[in-house]
Amino acid sequence: MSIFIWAVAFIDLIAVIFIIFGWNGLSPLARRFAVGITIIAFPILGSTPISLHTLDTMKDTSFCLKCHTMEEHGKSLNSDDDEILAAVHYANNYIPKKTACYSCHTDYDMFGGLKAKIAGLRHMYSYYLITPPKPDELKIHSPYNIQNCLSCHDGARNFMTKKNHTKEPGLLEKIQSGEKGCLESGCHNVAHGVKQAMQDALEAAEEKAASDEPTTKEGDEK
Amino acid sequence: MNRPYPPKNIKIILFLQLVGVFLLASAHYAHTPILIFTIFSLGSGMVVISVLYWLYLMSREFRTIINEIQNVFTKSDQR
Repeated sequence: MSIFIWAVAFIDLIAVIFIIFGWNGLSPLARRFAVGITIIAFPILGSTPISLHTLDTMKDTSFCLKCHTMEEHGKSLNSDDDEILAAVHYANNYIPKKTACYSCHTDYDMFGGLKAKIAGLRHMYSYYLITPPKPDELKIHSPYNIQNCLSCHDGARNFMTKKNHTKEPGLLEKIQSGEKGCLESGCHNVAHGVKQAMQDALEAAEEKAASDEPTTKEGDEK
Repeated sequence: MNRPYPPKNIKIILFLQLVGVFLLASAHYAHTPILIFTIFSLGSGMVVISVLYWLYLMSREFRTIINEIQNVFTKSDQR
C-alpha cells in the first residue's frame, strides 16, 4: 500500500518538475492536458488509498488508547472481573481485539462511522484544547445505543433463552425494542468499571505502602 | 478579454497539490491523533484547493466556449 502511494507521489513530483521546467516548450493544448492530469489524477490515485488506510487505522484499539485519559479504560479490557462488560467481550473474542473500542462505540447504521469520527474530533478538542476530564469522571456523551448490543446478541440462543431475559412476560420484547436498556437495567451496568478499578488500585497502593513501612524501619535499625 | 490558459499561477497550484499528496502519503506514519489529524487536514485541504481551482479554470474554459458559440449564432442572425 505505502509503496504504491509513495510511487504515485514521486511520479507526481516528476510530472510537476516536467511541467514547471518545460512550461514554455508546451503547446496550450499540452499545458491543459498536463495540468488536468497532474491536478486530478495524482491526488485521486495517491490520496484515496491513503485516506482509506488512515481512516482504517483510526478504528484500532491502540489508536483509541493513545490518549492518557483512556489508559484506565484500556486496562479494563484485560480485567479478570466477569462483571465488566468490556472485559468479557474482549477476553472472549466477542468483538475483534484489534477494533474493540470501535466495535462497541460505533453505531451500526449508515452514518455510524461518520458520527464516530465527529465524536473523535470532539474528544481531540477536549483533550488538547480544554482540560480533559479524569478517567473516572468520563461520561458517555449520549445514552448508549442499545442497537449496538442487539446487532450481535439479538437472535443468539444464549440471549433469547437466558433466564433473566425471559423471567417476566414481554421483557425480551422490551429489550429488543430498546424500551428496556441492558446498561440501565441493573443487569449489565458495569461497562468498564474504571471508578472501582481506580479505587481498588489506590487502596492496594495504600496497603502496600503501609506494609512496606515497618520493613524499612527494621532495616534502618539493623 | 482574452486571458491566457493555463495562467502562470497554475504552477503554485501544482506545487500545492504536490505538497498535499506528500503530506497525505506521510499521514499514517504519525503516531499521535493530533498529528494525524493535522497532517491529514492540511494534505487534503491542499489537494481540494488545487482541484477546486482547476474546476474554476475549467468553468472559465466552458464559459469561453459557450460565448464563442453564442457569438456564432448572433453573427448568423445579423446576416
